[in-house]
Amino acid sequence: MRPSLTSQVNHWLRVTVPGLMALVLLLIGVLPLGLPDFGPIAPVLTLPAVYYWSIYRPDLMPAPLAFALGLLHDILNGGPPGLMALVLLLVQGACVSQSKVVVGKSFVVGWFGFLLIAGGAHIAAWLLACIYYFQALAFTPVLMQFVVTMLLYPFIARLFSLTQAWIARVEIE
Amino acid sequence: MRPLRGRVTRLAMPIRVMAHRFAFILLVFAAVAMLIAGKADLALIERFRTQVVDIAAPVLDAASHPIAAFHRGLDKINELAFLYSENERLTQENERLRHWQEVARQLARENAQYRHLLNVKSGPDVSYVSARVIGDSGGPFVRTLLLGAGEADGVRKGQAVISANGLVGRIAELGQRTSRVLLLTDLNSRIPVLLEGASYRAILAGDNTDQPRLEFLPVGAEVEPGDRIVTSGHGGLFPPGRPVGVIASLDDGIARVQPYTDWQRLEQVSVLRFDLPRLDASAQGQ
Repeated sequence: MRPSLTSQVNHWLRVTVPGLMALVLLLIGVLPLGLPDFGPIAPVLTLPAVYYWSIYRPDLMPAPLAFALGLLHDILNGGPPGLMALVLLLVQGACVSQSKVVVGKSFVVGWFGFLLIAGGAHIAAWLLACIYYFQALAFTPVLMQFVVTMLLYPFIARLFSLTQAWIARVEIE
Repeated sequence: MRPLRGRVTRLAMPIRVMAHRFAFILLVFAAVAMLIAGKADLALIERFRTQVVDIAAPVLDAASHPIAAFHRGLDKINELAFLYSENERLTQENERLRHWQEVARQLARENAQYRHLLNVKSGPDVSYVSARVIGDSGGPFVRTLLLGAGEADGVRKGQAVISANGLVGRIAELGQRTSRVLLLTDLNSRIPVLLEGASYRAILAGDNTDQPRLEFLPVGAEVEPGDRIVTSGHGGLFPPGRPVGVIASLDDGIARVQPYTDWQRLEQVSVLRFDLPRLDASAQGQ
């Protein structure tokens, strides 16, 4: 039986929720928050989004979505175009292939997985930026940014896991 | 039907996986191609970027209003807490400024007389476009701002951007309704400046830290912390004499400048519409 139009629209709305949440996080990162000394170490909030969803619901975070989020991040932040697109794409690929290691394990395992993936992503972004600008850029802000992202992860992951449970619940109905 | 369907899915699955892999590799290539095209400064990439920013602008503009309001509220609370001491400080400052006003009036009169005597042509007129800051680049690699004013508002590429305190940077990218400011602290920022008083020329070079470097100071230039830096106007992009900052430190002959602009408090900036004197002169000559 073909599902009714409303349930199709409902389904479509649900599957776009992870992408929309990532988009909101992305926009928050661009807004002039005016926090002292925060700008250079402002976390890439799309990174936990791409990590979480490509581990737990890879169908809701396909590669083109990760690419698009990264590209929008580059464009709105005025950085090298394609840098974060490439990094988030690689994060998505790594997470989808390694998701078995994390899925079904405790939260700490998920956090540790994020530590490894985010660490790799920050180093990759730094290396790409160094190549792009053809000079050795300071690493300390990148390290600080990584630490901030790590500390924010539990909160963002909590938000995502609630959303994931909600999506699953609606899907069953 | 069932066995056939099973066969189809068995066949379809690997094709699907292949398609996913192919799409992934294609996207990786697209990202790398974009990096190369961005490095080569292709106009196409820039147009694409400014168009995307133009589309996102209304959302950013709307979302930045409550943040600005929140900060203004915080400021209000702060002001209330320090009302008494602030009043005292301002009274003292007012006295000092009154004296300066007297001096400035006298100098302006004198200056006007001399100008009249020497028949000096005054510099080109500078007009302002005020713009709201709607975006702030996060991250360790770039220092830029997004402004909610673009080509339609009279902003042009290369124009200087100032805050109430001093120079902020210059317009690097231009959309219809938005523009991107390259802050003077950005890695790619180079601004011709002058040491006030001694009139040494130098280039203020950003390096993504809060305090940009002074480069190409003349050999034997006597520089001390606290010296004021202003724009020189050389190159014709910036109007001369705009305050930039003060020398903050001198380490191994590298002078670092503390900009006057308070980066945390940038809600509204002015874009200087400055007509190039060079072009004016050539136009008049013809």
